Amino acid sequence: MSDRISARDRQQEVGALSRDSLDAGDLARAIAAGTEWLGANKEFVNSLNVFPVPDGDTGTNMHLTLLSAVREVEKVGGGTLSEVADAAAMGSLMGARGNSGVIFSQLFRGFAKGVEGKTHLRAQDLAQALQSAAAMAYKAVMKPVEGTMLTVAREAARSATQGARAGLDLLALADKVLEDARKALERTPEMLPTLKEAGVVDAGGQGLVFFWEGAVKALRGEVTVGRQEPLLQVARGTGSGQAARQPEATVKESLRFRYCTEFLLKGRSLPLDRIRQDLADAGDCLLVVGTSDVAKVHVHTNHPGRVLEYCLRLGDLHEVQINNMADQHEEFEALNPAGRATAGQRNSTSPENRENRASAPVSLEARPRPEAAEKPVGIVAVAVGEGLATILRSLGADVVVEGGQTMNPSIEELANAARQVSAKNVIILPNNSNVILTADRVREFVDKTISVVPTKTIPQGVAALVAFNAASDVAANERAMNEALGRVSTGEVTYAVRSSSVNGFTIDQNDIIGIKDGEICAAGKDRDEVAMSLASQMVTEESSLLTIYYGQDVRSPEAQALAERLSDIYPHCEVEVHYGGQPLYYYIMSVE
Amino acid sequence: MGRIAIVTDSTADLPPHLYSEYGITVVPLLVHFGDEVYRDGVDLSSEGFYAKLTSSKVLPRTSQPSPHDFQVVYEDLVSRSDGVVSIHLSSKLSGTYQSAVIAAGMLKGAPVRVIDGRLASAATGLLVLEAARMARAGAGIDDIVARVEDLIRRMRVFFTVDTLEYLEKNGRIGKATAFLGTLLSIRPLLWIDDGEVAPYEKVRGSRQKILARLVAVAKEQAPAGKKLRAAVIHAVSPDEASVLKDAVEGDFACEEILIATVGPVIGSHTGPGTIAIAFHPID
Repeated sequence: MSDRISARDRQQEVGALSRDSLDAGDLARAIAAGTEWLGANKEFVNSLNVFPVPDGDTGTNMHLTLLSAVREVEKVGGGTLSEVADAAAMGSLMGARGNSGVIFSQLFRGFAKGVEGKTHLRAQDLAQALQSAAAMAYKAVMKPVEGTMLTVAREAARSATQGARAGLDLLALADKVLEDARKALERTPEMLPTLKEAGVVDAGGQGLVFFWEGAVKALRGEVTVGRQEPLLQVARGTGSGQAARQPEATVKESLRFRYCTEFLLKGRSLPLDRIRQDLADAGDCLLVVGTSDVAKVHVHTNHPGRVLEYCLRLGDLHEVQINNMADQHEEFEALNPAGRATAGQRNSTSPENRENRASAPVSLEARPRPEAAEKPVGIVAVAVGEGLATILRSLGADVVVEGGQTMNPSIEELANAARQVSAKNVIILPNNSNVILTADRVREFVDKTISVVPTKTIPQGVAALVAFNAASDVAANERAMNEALGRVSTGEVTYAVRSSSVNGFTIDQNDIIGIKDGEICAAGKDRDEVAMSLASQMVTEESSLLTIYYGQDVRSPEAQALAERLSDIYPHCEVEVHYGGQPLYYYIMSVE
Repeated sequence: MGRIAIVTDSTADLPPHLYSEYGITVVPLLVHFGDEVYRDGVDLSSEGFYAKLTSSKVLPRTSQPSPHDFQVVYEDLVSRSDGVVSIHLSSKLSGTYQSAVIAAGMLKGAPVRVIDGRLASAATGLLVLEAARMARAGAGIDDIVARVEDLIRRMRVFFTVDTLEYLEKNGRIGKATAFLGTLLSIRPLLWIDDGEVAPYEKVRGSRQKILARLVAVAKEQAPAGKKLRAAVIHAVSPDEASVLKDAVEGDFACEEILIATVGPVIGSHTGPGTIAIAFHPID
């Protein structure tokens, strides 16, 4: 008994090293520090790809997802712990890239649900929140696979629950969770044979561990970065001059629409769907989330005034923020919409106000939607490489989102692309297995019917587009496009980023490898020989067409020469050569 | 006397012996190679045309018959028959129908009925043949017109071209513009939908592949359990046409199947390598 008292006394003396609970500021700092630490280690996470192909970008994906969470937390500028968690959940969801990013966003979403309404977290609360996080992530994945970051998240949650039952304080609990998460990570190769064969631990799990390491350091007060240059300014209100740190330049902003406009709309029975519809043409990055009593509206627009005026008819505006994204330093200033409107009436000669008066509220509310120009079905495709993008567009893709092998697009990027398409039904072609999950979530953010045809490669995307018929309805097209996937075989020629042993091939770093429908089936030192070997495993007697898309590191005559050799060997096949311009992959081949 | 006379234009692409056999009057369109002008099917045969097409430096243009050309024909026929049924190339593809309508309007009160076939080539030809057979059997003008209108709705025409270039350059590509500009080589499977060229499907691969697909699509679209009348129409690829004919005969319950050549006017707009299947159920 006396021991315990003295222990508590000791803890109180050392201050930051002992915690009964954490508050909103702690949580925000922990998320920021975890993000920072993962960012510092993202290249290592990238290298943990099962295939030694140079497109491992799990670390980058997770980091970008987290940066978006951090930015959203910065934007809410404090608030309760529950609000910070909500902001992180929303930010990570909007910025989610790749499967690991999507799963991370679901962890945040579950965490936020677990801390709903709370201002402080004690050890028991943290354990509960981590359980809720893991449960949400499992629910989001249709076929959960053990030996992935899901396992790490679940083991962390289990560890936290044990720790809380054992009466550990917050910091001891966090340490235990970290230790058990590391152990779970180390066991991932035992659960997933592909990891074992490649001799790596799961990349997503490693990313999660890095994040947790950074977060725990912040809780202990060990992160020095945060003190020297605050990553976050967690302050109440929307005071001016709140110079938040600009997230890394990798977060791209479209400046077609200049003003990032954000506010809370409070009213009674707010028609969220209608608001989304009516504001759809006001700009991009539109987000209307919330309940029928309070909604958060976020939009990038060139006419924030019109958006505000429109919403004023539906309720009261709060925490209005309009940010000119052209400014280097993100400066938020609260704007009084009423004042702006009054000024507009007085000074009706200024061109800006004339424009406002002429078309503002009407254009948002009663503008006839361009039904006539709308197509029944539009297509968004994902590709990297200007040649491939042009080819996909020429086959009928309305918007090609840059991404795929080296950079997975976020839900937000895909959602924006889907909004751009003038069709109520949009089919998304992910063209990469790591983009399918992201694409599947787009429908939550876009007021259109979204279908995903799960194309895993560019040749599958091409086959799907060839099967597309603009005159048919979505269901018929989905069916035809899905059927088309089975009729094409994909080959890829790239190089190994590290030595490894896969499928019985011993591969040295920088060796050329050939991948057929996701399986390494050729390896060697010579690019053309590997391509020839790969082709020999793809072409059958029934094949009638072999298409080669050559990458940015291959010259046209080299690709032509390869095509001629293939054409000589397979006279029954037509051989076509096209410039794909894709990075990292010398050749992408399709046989049908 | 006591019979209905049948008129069409040279784009109906029926084998010439059928025109003489059924006493069908054919008004020729004109084909221009630079300054040279030919009357379709009169001064210029299909064989002669494709030989010229590959050797000529200029692309051929075509022009519709003048109203006067039709007027002369109608006046003559009206004087020695009970009425005239004049069946033509789709008004969305040619001004021929327009000329015929103007001519008919100049013959005040004469029983001349002009029909916009909303089809092309031997698909129009199949309409003309049916009309001529009814006329020979003594059918009245209203019955013939009603039957032809009915067949127009039930006729299906699927075809492919080697290149969309000809359709595009001549402004006849219609909704198949959707197939233009594809950077990958695709073979277009087209059809005639409501009187104009429309895209049906894109096919990647060999010529054999699209020919097989052409037959498969025709089979999918043919009404089940009905006897058909059909035509295989080719632009100087008789071997492919006979392969296609065999496939169609094997797959369909065909009462009659014609092999026809894409004539100079249609050929100017579709180019060599064009091949089509047209069919309609008999009842």
